[in-house]
Amino acid sequence: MAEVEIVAVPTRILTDKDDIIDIVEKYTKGKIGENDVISVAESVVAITQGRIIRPEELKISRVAQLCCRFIPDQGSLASPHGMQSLMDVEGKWRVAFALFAGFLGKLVGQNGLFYKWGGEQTALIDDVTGTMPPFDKHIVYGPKDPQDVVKRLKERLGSFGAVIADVNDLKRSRIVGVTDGIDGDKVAKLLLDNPFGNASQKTPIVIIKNFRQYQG
Amino acid sequence: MEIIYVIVGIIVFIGVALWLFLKNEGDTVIVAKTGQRTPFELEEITQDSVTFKTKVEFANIGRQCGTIMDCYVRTLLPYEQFDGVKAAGKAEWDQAPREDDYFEALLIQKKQSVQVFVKVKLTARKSQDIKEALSQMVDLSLDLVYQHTGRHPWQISKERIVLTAEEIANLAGVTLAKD
Repeated sequence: MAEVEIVAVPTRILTDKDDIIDIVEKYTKGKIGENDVISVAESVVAITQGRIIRPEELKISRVAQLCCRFIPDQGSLASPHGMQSLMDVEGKWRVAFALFAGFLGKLVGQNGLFYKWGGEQTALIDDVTGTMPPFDKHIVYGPKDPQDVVKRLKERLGSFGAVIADVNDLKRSRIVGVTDGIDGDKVAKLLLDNPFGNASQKTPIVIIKNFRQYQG
Repeated sequence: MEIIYVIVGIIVFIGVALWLFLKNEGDTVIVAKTGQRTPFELEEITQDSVTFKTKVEFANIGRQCGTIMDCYVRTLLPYEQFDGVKAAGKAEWDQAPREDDYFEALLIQKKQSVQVFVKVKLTARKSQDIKEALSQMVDLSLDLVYQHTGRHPWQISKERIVLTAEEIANLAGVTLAKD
């Protein structure tokens, strides 16, 4: 049986002038088979969708300044900018309430309420330094309509499936969008070693060869 | 009436608890220790240019992780003062040298420091040899400008460094002309 193989695909720096589907097609031409899964980094999908903002463009509220203090200091929502960017898309009071509920939940041993009730962007926002230059000075939101993006990727490339993944060097791997029939947990485990590379590398596309056989 | 006292009491308690929490947690405090920088060194000299550098410690003396979002060096050498050389400054994290003058945003953990090279390149104007041009050199002011954040909204700070004409002359092997 063919073994599963991870192939990182380097690209130039992508911007909001790029269409992610066209780019993936261009850089993976001749490399993708019908048993493979194409994986794209979530921050790069978001960047091509223009979902970025500079901290200087945000109007920081007192609520954001207060709420960010309750996030561990290396989290993307730990700065007033990260927190404000979340509040701008999910609602100031919704986020504040979710944070308070999360605090109460922890008191009774219930973790994760903030991320559950604060809106989908709560776990997706990357603060300054979270992305490669020139976006290291921006806040990057999570991608819009990830399910639609992976569906179009699969259709265009004729692959077994497609995923959008949020992976970092701290051994965290999460699937943000996945096509039907693909076991997202298995993909996430394969990507744990972050084949996309760290912030300064330019490999936002990863091909998982022979995933159909691996998944069984 | 008692219920009002209870409500006010709870609000005051929450307020005090919050204040104590924030005070205990502290904030990020990033400082550029220009007063403790290393002496300027000669990095490179060519027929028409010379580059000097010094190392500055950026310390996070606060109790929260911080970020230097950007950092650059502004040279202040107006024509009115001296038009023999063109000055260009650059800030560079010592762990990640770059040739593009781009300063990649970086984190500084609490109670930790990073080292940044402050570089200045002087290029002779009017087709002069650099040593000839530097014989008339004046003190050169450099502003080290950095944008930083932590638990507070971003701020821009700047520190002044002066590269004296005497230091330049000594490092470049030039004798300053007398007035």
